Amino acid sequence: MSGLPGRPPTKFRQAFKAWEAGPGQKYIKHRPGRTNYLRSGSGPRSQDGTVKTINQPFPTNPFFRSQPVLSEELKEEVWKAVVERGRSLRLTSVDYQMDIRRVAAVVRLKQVEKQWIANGKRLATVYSKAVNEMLPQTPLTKPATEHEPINDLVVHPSTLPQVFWPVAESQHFTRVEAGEAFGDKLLPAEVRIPHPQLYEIAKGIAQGKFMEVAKEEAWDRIQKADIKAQARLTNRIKDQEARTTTVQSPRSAFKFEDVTVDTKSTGRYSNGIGARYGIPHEDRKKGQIKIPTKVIG
Amino acid sequence: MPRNKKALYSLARPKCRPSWHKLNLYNLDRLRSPIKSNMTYFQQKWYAKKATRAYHGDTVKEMHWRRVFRPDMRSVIPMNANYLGRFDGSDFSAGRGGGRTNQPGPSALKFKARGPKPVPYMNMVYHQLERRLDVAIWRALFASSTKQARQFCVHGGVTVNGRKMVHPGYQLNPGDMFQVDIERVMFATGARKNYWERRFGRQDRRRGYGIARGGRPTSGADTELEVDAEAEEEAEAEGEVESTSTESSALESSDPSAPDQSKNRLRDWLEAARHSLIEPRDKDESAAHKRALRDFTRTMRKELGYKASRDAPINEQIVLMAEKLSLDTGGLKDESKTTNSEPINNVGLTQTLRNDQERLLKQALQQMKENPLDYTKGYKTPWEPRPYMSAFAFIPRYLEVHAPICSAIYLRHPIARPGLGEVPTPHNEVVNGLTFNWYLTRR
Repeated sequence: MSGLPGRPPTKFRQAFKAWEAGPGQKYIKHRPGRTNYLRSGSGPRSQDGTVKTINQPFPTNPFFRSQPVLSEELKEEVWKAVVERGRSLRLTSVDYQMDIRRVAAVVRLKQVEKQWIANGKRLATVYSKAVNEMLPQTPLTKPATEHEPINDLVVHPSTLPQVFWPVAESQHFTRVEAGEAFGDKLLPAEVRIPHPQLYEIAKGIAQGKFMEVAKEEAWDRIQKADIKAQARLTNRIKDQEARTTTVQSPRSAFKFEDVTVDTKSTGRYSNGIGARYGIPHEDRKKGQIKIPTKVIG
Repeated sequence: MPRNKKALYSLARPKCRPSWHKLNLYNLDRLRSPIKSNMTYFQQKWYAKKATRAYHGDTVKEMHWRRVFRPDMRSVIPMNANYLGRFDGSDFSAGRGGGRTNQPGPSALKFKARGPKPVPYMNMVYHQLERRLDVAIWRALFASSTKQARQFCVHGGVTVNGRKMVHPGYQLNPGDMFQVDIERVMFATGARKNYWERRFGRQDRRRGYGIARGGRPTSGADTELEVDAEAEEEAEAEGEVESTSTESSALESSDPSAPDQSKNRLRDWLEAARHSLIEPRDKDESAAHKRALRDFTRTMRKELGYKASRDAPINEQIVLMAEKLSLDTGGLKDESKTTNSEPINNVGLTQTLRNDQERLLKQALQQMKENPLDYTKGYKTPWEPRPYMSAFAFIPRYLEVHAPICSAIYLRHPIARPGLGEVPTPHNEVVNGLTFNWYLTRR
């Protein structure tokens, strides 16, 4: 990189040295509580003359922003709400305006942290503090600051190609019919969003119900649906367990399950019993990828 | 990825790499579009692909990436539940199918007038690579480059869902929790040791010291305690103390009530005390002061760095010595003066610190306990983030990172939404689009 001994550094190297001593200086150390991205201070000036900080880590890509992360206090509060106060994930998600999956993840991570503390394991407190100082944060406020939009509608692949669908001008063409036009089983947006109960509340209010009544009805229905789904899941697991006989050995558990061979068809489809009978495995061949596709904890 | 390490951050042919290197930051700062107007379409695609691949999966072979590439991209549109409840969507299809002009509410017309933000689908070209374990570790700020993250996997420092995962190319599934060994993360993200710290580290390791091994012996013969016996003897012979004017002025100007500054002050002070014993200086200082200084350093280190219990009360000796060395007056400058004018004879007389001073000291000690001095570590202690880290520090939304335990959960696959592509890429949509076209078809 540097020039040969006795030779001056190249012009590229000189330019870099100049950058390092000049504009590069401010990126060496972080300023706690502020982001420090390339050219981040050079945003457009607002009306009161202050330069607006844009959390854009890559100057050439305006479509990527460094979005706030959850502050430690907020994570702790979410954990308390779910574990100590027993609030459901769905409700907590609405309370703190964050994705349901994020709520679950925070609870899981916090649980591990508590376990570490109980076991006397050392935490990376210093590292964590430094990282939190560098990143934009969603603080713990009352009422809660929105962390992310919670009702994201996943764009269904069948809605990507344009559909030409002639409809009479007099027809009252709603979202439900639009869903049918895209494909026979595509449900309307209000059903496919993660928090359909919020839609139901809004609809109830629009129909003239009192807010409390609408809320109660919607939450009742969603709670029943959630309980049903949970029951279905546990039943499936129970059924599976009932069908299998487990023999515990010192090293591992052997699981036996009664199966019925499909006699009607040939049985040689990928899920069929004995579909691979007589076919050698190729896992010792050269170039076979043996990276696991999932890890069950 | 070039075999030649120099070519990685080439200044003549700059490319943005997945790394926190300062040369990489410089190259990112002057990153220009690789597309020129006089290029043929094939050339445009070629150079676009070349530029983007340097950042995305530079450790992944081209053949493998071509197999992994998927042209379909996930996206979401945020919905307003209130709007959905109040309107059934017919306002968008009213009239001739494009919404009626006199429609009330947040209807098609207003939506159209403002114009929806575009969904940057093209920035999602490399979304499949974001699933890789090594990339996710780097995105979660647990490693300073994907190469280093890869090394952490291969060396067995990474677990997925509690099980060791040695494959850096493991494709994370939504809900997978990955965890990196804390020491490795501290090493990857921490500043490097200097010459003296490396030297002390070697000596400490040889003698079997360090926090992990129960710490440096804290009681017993003085000879065992010396950091650098010969250096100390040398220092004693010369007789010196460090009181750099710049340091002292910086310390004095700082507000001692701020915890960070008090920590810095204490650390600087400790550092100065250590240096005074090692680096020969030609300054006269009373033997008593030197002894006090050395005792203090030793006790300090014992108290801060090499003690396991966290809630141990402050050693009275430290308070005593802090007072003796006029920590409360807040500067190294006063140090020599104080000790010269009123030597250690008044030690027993004033044993109490003011409340706020004691609180300050306690705070500083607590901070030093969390971030101890230990030369046996591979990184600079007390730990501090490596230079230029903040310019690269962001965490994309598809990861939920919990830094205290160096763990993260891969929540979902990266998505595009109006105005935002979640795949972090330094290149703009045009370059990414050309890359997409390069991989989309057989040429």
